[in-house]
Amino acid sequence: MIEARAAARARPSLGLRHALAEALAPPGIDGSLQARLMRSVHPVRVVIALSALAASPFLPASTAADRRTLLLLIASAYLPYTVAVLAASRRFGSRWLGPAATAGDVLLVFLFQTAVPPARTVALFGYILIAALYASIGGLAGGLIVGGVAAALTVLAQALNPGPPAIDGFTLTMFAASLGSLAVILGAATREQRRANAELARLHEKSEAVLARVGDGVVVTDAAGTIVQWNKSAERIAECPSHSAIGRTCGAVLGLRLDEGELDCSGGCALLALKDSTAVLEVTRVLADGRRQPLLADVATLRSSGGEVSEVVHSFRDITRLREADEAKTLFLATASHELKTPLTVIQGFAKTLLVFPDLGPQDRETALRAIERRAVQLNGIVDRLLLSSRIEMGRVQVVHSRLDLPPILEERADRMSAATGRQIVREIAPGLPPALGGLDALTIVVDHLLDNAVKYSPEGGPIGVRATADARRVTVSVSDSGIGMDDEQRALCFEKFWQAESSEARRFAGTGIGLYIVRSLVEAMGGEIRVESAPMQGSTFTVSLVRAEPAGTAVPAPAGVAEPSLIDEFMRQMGIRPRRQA
Amino acid sequence: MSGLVAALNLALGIAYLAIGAIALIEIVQARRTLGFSHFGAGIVGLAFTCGPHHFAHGFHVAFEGRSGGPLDLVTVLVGLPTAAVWVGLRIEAFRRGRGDRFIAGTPRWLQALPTAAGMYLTALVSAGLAVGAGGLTLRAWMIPNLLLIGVYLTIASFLLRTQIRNRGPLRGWSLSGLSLTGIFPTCALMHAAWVVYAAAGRYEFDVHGFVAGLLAVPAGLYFLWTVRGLFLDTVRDWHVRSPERAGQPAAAG
Repeated sequence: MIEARAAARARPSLGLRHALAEALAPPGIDGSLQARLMRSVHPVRVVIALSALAASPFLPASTAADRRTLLLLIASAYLPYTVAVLAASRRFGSRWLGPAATAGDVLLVFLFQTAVPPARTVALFGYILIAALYASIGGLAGGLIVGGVAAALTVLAQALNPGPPAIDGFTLTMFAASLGSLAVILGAATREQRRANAELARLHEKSEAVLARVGDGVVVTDAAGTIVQWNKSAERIAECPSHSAIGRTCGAVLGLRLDEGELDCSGGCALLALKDSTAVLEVTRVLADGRRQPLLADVATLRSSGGEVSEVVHSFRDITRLREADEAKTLFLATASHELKTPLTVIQGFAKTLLVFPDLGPQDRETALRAIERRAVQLNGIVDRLLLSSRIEMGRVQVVHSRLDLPPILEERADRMSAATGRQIVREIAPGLPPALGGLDALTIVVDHLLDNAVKYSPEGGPIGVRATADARRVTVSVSDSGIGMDDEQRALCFEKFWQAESSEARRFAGTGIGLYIVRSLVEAMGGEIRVESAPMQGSTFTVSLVRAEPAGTAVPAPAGVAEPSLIDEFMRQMGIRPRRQA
Repeated sequence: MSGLVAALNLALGIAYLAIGAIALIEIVQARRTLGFSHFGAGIVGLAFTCGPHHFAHGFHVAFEGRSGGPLDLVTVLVGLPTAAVWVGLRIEAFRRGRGDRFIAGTPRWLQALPTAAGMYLTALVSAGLAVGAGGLTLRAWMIPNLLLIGVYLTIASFLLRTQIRNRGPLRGWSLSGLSLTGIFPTCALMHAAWVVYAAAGRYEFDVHGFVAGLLAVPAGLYFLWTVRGLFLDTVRDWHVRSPERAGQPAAAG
């Protein structure tokens, strides 16, 4: 209840800005700044003409005749002109069209100013907008020239047809809108310029970035064996930053060894000499703590125009994890064999007993048969896990997503585990828990594994808890125990395949080492995440986050084109709230 | 023009009252099985305050000499089709028809809608400034209408957000959703036009509209509180009560 209220107190995002951002395609960088703005200026001109047409009946301080004249001029001259310019831009796309259209704008507005004196001041501010539009095409100087010509034409219009200009709230608003447009356009131009510069720099660094991101360590030396280039992966593999490596020799920085001998590069690149005989070499490095780091090495030469070797390119791949995986597989085979052999031995023993002693009493016979059945079930479970792990490895596990109502699932699995083990499991499930998106079978396996681990690794009988909460986007399930816990290294490796905390010779707890690997794989297949918090002798808490079936405010499942019969439900649905009939 | 303004406002008032009545009937009928619906009550509150507001305005224009201005007429004319579409779809749903239409993709007329809305808004603002050129005086009895503009625009934003978010999964639009979304901003503009005329001195104070407006503000805020609570799961509405607890079998599907 407390968690639900805490989650509920979180402010929801109205989401309109984000929804619009998702709906509208993001602008891409295609073509020059001028070309892009030219393409957008002509439609903007049409919109301005239409808006002027809509606003012209409200021209302040004017007579009805003035308003009619203005309406007629816009409808018969300016609007068709802007549409013609737009059509021409689509068809021809000439670079002279922009300046020519701007000149047309200026002349037409001059016509309005002369014919309708009250429109004079409004038109002046319209000139500012035209100048701003032209500034976006021809640059700031061009825009200022247009503005200057427009001001001169306004004076000429006043001389030709004297009349009081009207300066009032309407014109002030137009003035502010024009200035604002100018600032927006120029600001956009500046941003575009900066973005173009940044794009140029990015392209310049692209080659460096590709080299930096390649997984293998790449070391380039000159003909004398001095390191001239050292990529990020080389820094990671050799644990040596580039500024410490560049200028030194390979041998001094890496100290590579082949078999038990150190490679001698005093007479030239030793790897290059060896490469004649093998394609890829397996070498080792001795780390500062004495551990050996196995590497796969390859080498190639860069030659100058004269044919001499100018640079040598070395690449290294750290195969420590591969070696560890091999060792883990070997350990797994040993462990799995042991895990399988134990129940098989019992089954074999009791089966032989039944065969050798056919006159066993009914009670003894039943005991033997129950032991065989129990061990067969155990064996089946081990084989199932192995098969599931194998299918996960081959990418053949597909989770069928559906809306999962978690409380009954968690209650049922907890009850089964309690009944099977005799352990009490405390449940804290938030009321009104929303459904999650996932697979029922997958979730059942996940919960069973986590509960099984919680029971197994808390042999002293401490409390085991199952908790379920939700926020606006996720539904979270936690399984906790107060058992032996894990240290930092164990926590980091516990989800790895075949990993086990104990060596095969001194194992207190049974297991194949693939349980948590399966759990993580299934959780990720459901689009979720899993994390663990643990400390030695303080227990562990595994937290699984699944996607909520429907975040607030998104599509409400209903067939397209069919409304809810109830007015209230339909209103709810359109507000993004789940109507009652689908509770 | 005044006659048309009066007729349209009276029609709108009757339509909103009808919507409120339908919602009230649904609440009463479902109360025994599904409990009380805050959301439904919110709709009733909105409809039973907005409806009388339009009704009072239409009545004053028709019979008491209040002059309906062009802004009044334009805002009602623009708002009427969207309301008519939604009410028509509700009538169809009531008669067990589909109650909605699916608009596949985004046709050109729908793509042009934002531009047209921008032009409409520009023209309205220009006209409003022209009306207010002689000076606007804001009085206390106009404040409820000002607040309602904000309330209705907020409701419209929730509706718009849902339509935009549903666009992706549906690969189209719901006509019911679009028409319902169009009702609230056009209604907000109607109230804005009323404020402009009242502040310009063209409309006198009338107690009926004032009371309706005064009640509409808390009704709108209650509706918004309910919507927010339903999103945050802090409000228990009938939609979170399972039919099993009400003694009925679970709904199929």
